[in-house]
Amino acid sequence: MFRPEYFYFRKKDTIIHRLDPRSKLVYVIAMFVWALIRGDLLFLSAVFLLTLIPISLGKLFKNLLISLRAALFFIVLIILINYVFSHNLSLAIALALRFMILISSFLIFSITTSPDDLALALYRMGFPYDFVLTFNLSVRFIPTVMRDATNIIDAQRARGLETQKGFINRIKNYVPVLIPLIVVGIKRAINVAESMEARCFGASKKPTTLYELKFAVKDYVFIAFSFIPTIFYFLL
Amino acid sequence: MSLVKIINLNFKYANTDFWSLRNINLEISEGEFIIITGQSGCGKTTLLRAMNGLIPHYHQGEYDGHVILDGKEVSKHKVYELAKIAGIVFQNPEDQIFAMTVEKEVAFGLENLGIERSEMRKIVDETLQQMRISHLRFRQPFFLSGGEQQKVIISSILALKPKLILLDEPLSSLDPMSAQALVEELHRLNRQYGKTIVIAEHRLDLLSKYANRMIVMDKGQIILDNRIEEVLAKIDLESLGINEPLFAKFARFLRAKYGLELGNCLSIEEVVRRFNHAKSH
Repeated sequence: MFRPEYFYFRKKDTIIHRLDPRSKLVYVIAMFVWALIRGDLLFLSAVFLLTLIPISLGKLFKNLLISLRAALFFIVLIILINYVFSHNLSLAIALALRFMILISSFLIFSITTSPDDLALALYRMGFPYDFVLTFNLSVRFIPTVMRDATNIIDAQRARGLETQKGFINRIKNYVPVLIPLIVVGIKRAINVAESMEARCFGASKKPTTLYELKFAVKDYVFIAFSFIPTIFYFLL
Repeated sequence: MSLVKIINLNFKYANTDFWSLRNINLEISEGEFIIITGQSGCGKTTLLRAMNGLIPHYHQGEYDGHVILDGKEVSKHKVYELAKIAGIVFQNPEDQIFAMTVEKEVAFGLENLGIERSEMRKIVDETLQQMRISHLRFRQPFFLSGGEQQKVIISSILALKPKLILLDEPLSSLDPMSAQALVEELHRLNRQYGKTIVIAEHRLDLLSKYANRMIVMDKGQIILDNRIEEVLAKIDLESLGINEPLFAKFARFLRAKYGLELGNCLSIEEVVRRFNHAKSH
């Protein structure tokens, strides 16, 4: 069963949650670069272990384990395929580690960043307000749409829809779920737009914001942390 | 001057072939607490939308007549200008939540208006206190209960400091306890802060005690508009498909059975008291 709450932002109060989203963005990009720049086991293991530090500061081990379990199939696949073609086990494992680094660094960004803050960061980077708000709303409505989907699936099952047997059959039988879901979604969108209208949406070309993002010392420290692998790069 | 003045309003949504509002004439003064009731599809929601300009600006269709809100002809002003005078709360709380924290939800309208940050902080503080939800300030509205969500949404409307608050079946998604609490909160806004309240609802049991006026609609028309006790005494709401409040039904029954004239009552206690009084005489 898919558990959205492990992938969806929940407010928590850790140092990682309080970081400026822009510094987290720098971290993710840096880690992606480190993961791709070299393909040897030692370097990638060091980088992976490094990504566990923010994970533990953000109390996200459980989320990481769940994400890795969800990706297990691909991890095994990467190892198998690479081993079959290269007969080099350490390379195969290194490439799997590369994938795991992407997961564990992106997790920091996706789970600990409030979509509000991310939207604010985008707004300050010069993206248009409409775009930023659209982004914000799409994140905000994830749990709502998921609940709609669960309700529709339950309702259709109660009427005898088979959603569990056979791969093709399952896909085919999701059509009676998808169509009501889209209809409900459109109706919801109309309501949401109406109530935004009623709360002065579009009144000002340059809307103000309740908070301002501020880079603090911890953000500079975190960015510096993202560059620690430079040392590994030259030493290992 | 009345806060809302509607003159000969007719409205037909685009893509429908019937008039949702027919020949509406209505005046609302500041400080009133009005219930609009009627069967589903009678035009209650449409009437609310017409009062704050969502009709004809957001919902298009054939529009004929005048709606004047606080001296402004609604069809000639933008919705965001009108939203500062008349705020509207819709039926489904979940569709009205845009932010990830309660305080940002409350600030949403102010941000859109481009209010300065220090001023915005002040208004958010005041509004949260006004609705007594300061303790929810940093919570995620999506994870709150239905009653709390409704309060958050009302706060987000109040932040714009409207004179008039329109509510479209706000009680329908609430359990009886939260519904009762919300009604009392609305009563307080009406008494303490002088907000004019117009509420479209058919759960009349909870509301009758607080409203001063009731408008009954049927097929797009206003068929009765009077003080609430007059309305309840005058017509049989059940014949229009509206759930009559229990006390009104009870009073009707006593009247019919014992031929006692109980006068106008607005709660079950009052019916019983007057009945005892009438019996002893």
